[in-house]
Parts: sequence; structure tokens; C-alpha cells
Amino acid sequence: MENFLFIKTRITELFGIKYPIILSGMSWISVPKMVAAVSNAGGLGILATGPLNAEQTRRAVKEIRSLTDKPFGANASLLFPGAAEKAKVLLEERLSVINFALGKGDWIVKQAHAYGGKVIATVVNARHAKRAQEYGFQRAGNRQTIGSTLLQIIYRGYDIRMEKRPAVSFYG
Amino acid sequence: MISGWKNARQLAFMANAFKAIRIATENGDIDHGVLPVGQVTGLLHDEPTVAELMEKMVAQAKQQQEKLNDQFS
Repeated sequence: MENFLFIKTRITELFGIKYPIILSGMSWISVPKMVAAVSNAGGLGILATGPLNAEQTRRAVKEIRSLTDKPFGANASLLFPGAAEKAKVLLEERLSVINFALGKGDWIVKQAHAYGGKVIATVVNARHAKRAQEYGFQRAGNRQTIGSTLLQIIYRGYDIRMEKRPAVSFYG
Repeated sequence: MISGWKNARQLAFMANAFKAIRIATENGDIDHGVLPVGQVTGLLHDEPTVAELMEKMVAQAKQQQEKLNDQFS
């Protein structure tokens, strides 16, 4: 029995990918070749920008674009030095998906949504998830719009219940 | 240093490890590099390509879904 229900989820619709499988942005692992390989295989690759500076981030994005024409994303861990500059590069390059973590990402949500980009907020508990949701509210003021563009990540065993929000779970 | 001596020392260790980690993860040289691993490592028995792994995961998920469908229908 062929069942397509599993493959077609809100995540695949949201990001325009074949399978609801996402490569998390892991330093030294989620490098351009790896990101492109995952996106080419039907998932969503997320570039790890942690070990890169702004210029290297731009080069990495261009390298991925030379390897795939599928959607891919990049992460921005806002706690690290230079993170804002890197996030600006990602916004300038109009990445399909930006995954921010460890900081206040409301401005990323706002600017990414402006060009049609999607934002993943990495959260580890329900309080963070709620805060991330509020960034979307600030921007859109429309529940339906936020539901389709803001995403929360369920990390390990934390109980995060976000009604009507698509979520991705990462485990390692 | 703002976050305390212990954290600063840990960060310094981490910074030194960066090169060694890259040698193992990006270049695949596990003789000279350091490979960060998790508990799942014991369950790995093959080294498929990304494309092979994706197809395998999806096939297994579909199989499991059909099994559940059969049980509940």
C-alpha cells in the first residue's frame, strides 16, 4: 500500500522539500557538501555557521548553491561573537530557511518573512517556544501566517506543546 | 572570563580542539583527528551515503506505518 500521508507534512509543505527530514546545523559536520547532499536527497540541509566568519559564511552559501538548486538553510547561534553579522549575510543572501538559537531573533523573523524566508527557532523548553512564537505575532499579527512560517523545535524530552505550530525534533 | 574561570578554561580547551575535530569530521581522518561521538555510535554498522540513508529511513518509516495501519484497521 502506497501511503503518501507520511511524506507530505506541514514541514515538507513549508520548506518545499520531499521528505520531512532535516540536517541540523552541526559545526564541522553540516559543511557545504553535506548540506547540499541532504537537500539533493530530498531533505533540508542546514549549514553550520558557528565556526565561520561573515565572509566564510557567504562563500559557504555560494558553494552550496553551486552544488544544489534545492532549498537549504543555515543556522545563527546568536550567543557567539559575530553572530549578528553572519545572520545579516544569511538575510542578504535570502536563504530559504534561517535557524536561530540562543538569543533574541525577532529581527531575523521580521526580515526573513519580508522576502518570503522561513525561520526555525531552536528552543529547549516551553518558555522559549512561547517567546519565539511572540516574535511571529509581532511581525504578522495573524495567527494563520505565523502558523505557516514559524517553527519550534522539540529538543529531547522537553514537553513543548505548541498548538497549530509545526515542530521538528532533533536528537543526537 | 566574565562567565567564570571554569567556563573560560573549558572554552579554551574547546578552541584548541577545533582543528582536531575538523580533521576527523571534514577530512575523515580519524587517525589524526578527534571525532565527537554520542551514545548512538554503538548502533552504527554501516556507512551509507546521505542519499542512501534518506531512502532507507523513509522506507523504514513507510514500512512501520503500514504495520501500524494493519494493526489498527
